[in-house]
Amino acid sequence: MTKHPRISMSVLLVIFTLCGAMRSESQKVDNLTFHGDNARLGWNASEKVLTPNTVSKDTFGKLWHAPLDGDVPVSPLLVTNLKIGGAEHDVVYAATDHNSVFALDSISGKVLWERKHLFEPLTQAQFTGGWFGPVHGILSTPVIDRKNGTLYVCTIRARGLRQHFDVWALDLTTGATKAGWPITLKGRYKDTPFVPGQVMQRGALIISNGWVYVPFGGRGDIPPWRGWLIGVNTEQPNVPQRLFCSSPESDGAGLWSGGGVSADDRGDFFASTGNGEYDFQRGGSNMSESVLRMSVTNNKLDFSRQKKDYYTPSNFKRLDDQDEYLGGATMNILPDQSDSSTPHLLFTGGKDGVAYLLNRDDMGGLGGEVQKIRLCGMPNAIYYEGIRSTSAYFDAGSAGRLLYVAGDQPGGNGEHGIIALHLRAENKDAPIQMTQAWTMKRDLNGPSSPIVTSNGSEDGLVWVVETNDGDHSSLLAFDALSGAEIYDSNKASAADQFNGGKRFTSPIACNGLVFIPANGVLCYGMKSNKAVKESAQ
Amino acid sequence: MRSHLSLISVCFLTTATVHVNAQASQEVYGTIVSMRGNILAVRPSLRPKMTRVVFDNKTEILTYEQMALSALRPGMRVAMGGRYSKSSGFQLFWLEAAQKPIGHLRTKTIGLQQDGGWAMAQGNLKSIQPFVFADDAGTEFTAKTDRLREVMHDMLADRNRLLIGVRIRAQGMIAPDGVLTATTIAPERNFTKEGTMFGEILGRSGDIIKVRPRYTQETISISLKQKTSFIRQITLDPDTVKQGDSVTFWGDQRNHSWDNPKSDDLKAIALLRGDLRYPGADGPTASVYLNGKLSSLEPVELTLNNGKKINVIIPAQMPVVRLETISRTELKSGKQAMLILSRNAYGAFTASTVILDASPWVGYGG
Repeated sequence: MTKHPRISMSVLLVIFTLCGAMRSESQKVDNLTFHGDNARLGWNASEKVLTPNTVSKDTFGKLWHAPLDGDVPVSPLLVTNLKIGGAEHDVVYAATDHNSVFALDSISGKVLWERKHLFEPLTQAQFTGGWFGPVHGILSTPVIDRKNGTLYVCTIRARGLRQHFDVWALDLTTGATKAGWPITLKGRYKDTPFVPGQVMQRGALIISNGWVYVPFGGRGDIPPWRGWLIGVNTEQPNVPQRLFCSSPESDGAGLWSGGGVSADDRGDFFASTGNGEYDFQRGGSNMSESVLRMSVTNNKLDFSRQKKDYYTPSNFKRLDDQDEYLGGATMNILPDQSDSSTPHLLFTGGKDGVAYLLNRDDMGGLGGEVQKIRLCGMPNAIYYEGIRSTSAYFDAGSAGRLLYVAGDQPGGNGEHGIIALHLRAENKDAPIQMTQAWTMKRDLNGPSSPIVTSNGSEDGLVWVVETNDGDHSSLLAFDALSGAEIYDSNKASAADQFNGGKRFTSPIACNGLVFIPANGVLCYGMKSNKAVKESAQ
Repeated sequence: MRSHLSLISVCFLTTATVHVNAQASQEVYGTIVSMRGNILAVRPSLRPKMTRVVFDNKTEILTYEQMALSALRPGMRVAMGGRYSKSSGFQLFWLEAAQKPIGHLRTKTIGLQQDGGWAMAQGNLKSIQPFVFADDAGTEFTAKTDRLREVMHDMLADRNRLLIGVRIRAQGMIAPDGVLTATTIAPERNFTKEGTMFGEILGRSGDIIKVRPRYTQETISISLKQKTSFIRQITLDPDTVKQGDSVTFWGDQRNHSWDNPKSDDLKAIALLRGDLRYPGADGPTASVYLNGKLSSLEPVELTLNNGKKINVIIPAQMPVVRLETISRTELKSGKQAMLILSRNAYGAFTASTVILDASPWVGYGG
């Protein structure tokens, strides 16, 4: 077995600090953005309570359920050691499809503050497209800037003959709207105006270099729709917004993944696009079924059109024709793989079940991937629901570096549900290649994005919510190295079971607790958790 | 053109299918607004949100035509409905027949499905005079055909029937994310004598234009007739529409005799300024044009000329437009067009209307 150098804990700490999953003084971990950081790795390497040895159906289970005013179609966020009302709390933030935002105490699940109906949500008939409940409000994971004590969230509203998206800045401790907000998203990219009625805002928000960015995709492929990424300055919200459109002259190329876009330390953004027109090779600007790097230069957000800054699978036409788009899985920006010729990698998956490894230094243009392998689905399938979740990463030290991919359907080589991939290079002059480490024994039928908890490189657990597990949803946990099932809420007591898990979201796991978006928020943890017990008394 | 009765019979049949088949499939009834590969986006008439319909080579595309009772032959698969009583027997009002079990005629059925004084049944035709059929348990039934109003002949069609703007009834299973994988798709012929195609005009030579249909690399030739209408859609800024303006909304209402609950609320497809209209469809569930004064913008309310107030639901994609007549010389290369087409038995297209710069959302409207 090839030996791999471990990423040191100091490097991990730097990654977490830079990317937003910050450690507070008491060594608790915050979760300020979707999948924990701007690289969207979904890995909390500071978990000491939840381990393969401590979690079981006897020791672990549901601690509380906080029903809110609607469904929570977004990932919760967590801020620790925050003073609210004179007392210190670890605070869970959740947004609902009723355009509401709630702050909950992580121990008791009690509401600390609430902002209901920031704007009146839309009805289904107003919204059109989309596959959600009877009302349509916030559909995307907010983002938190802990330094300025602000949560940013995007709402939708109808006003007269138009619809609008607005970004709000809410005070973390009170929920009050900060001065100068909300800001209505508007503007144009070159000659193309942003038309809110054409698009859906499902992708998580992201903060980079003092701007909050909001991605958009289509509403059920009803033409015309376009992919947009729009930035708002957090310090001066009224300065002109930064807009980029991935299909300025035609339909499609939505940036719709629930995980939103990813950003590297320089502030470059990476996103995969969905169905639609692809005419780039003919000189056009419509980039469906592609992975793009978007950069800010001279205060403008744009795509360079250079081969090193995009990737398009060579079978893009077929992907589009069969609705087997890229775009459902947010890009993972992998930590440096310095023992290979491809140290700077991106990873994503497509709805056709194919996983892609790309080189950030030269993304390869048309057909220029580092590696692509089919994990689930059949090559000639039509409308196959393969990979539409954002994958998670884990550096297990000497046990290797792994990616965890959730797929909806079985693969041709016995793959089911979660597939773990080893990342290895034959030598330092060879590229990283993916090989299967393990796979689940059964299929998933609507998995959330998986996440990983570990204590450094030890005690790795992979968590995922199966949103459509028969009559229930279920929380599942697996040993990150062996794939052994550690926990399944459907096999636990009736009190530990739940319904209404949400696709295109992710649970979060920090400080011994797991928070799940559903019809409200659920909290799972060790049944012996003293603080929770005391709060219930 | 099919009568109102046959529409109701389709509704009955759908209900019957649900009753008879334990594995009830679900249905979407609406207008195709986009088509990419094997995926249709359908604007439903009876559901509030858009639905995607996926089909493959196992999906049956169904069509039908009227046939004479005398054209029936023993061995055909039949479905029927009408009045029933023990004393006067089974009096047929409608009948559907196919050479072999297709679509909902595949459903295994035993006995008469009775509801009040009505009954429906399905089986294999034994004889026409007297009318005898056997259900799927082999039990034979007789029925009277003297009050039979129509006989429909169900047939398989090809996927070329699925044009944007065609109203369809698709049946299949709906996945958790709302996508219907169709086992059958039946284009509604009465509303869609013609279908809509979107594409880019590549050139015109006399009465023939060449068009590249949206999302394809093909080129097709379309004939223009002397009476073909040429229209340009001018999309207006919604902010130019003010309270008190006289406007026309095109949309759907659920106030037919069979709607439950009924509502006069209008689900808008488009807001029009000026006098020109999109070519309308006909039939009992065709969309309506309502003209009046915009008495409120929040919420949107239209006051009709008779004083009645209508609550208008504004979907996200609703365009605000004015239509103007143009000449055929404006059909220039590079222009985006919506073409309302019919095709003859050999597959050749003829346009009855060409609308430049039309919103795909409007489709044919149905």
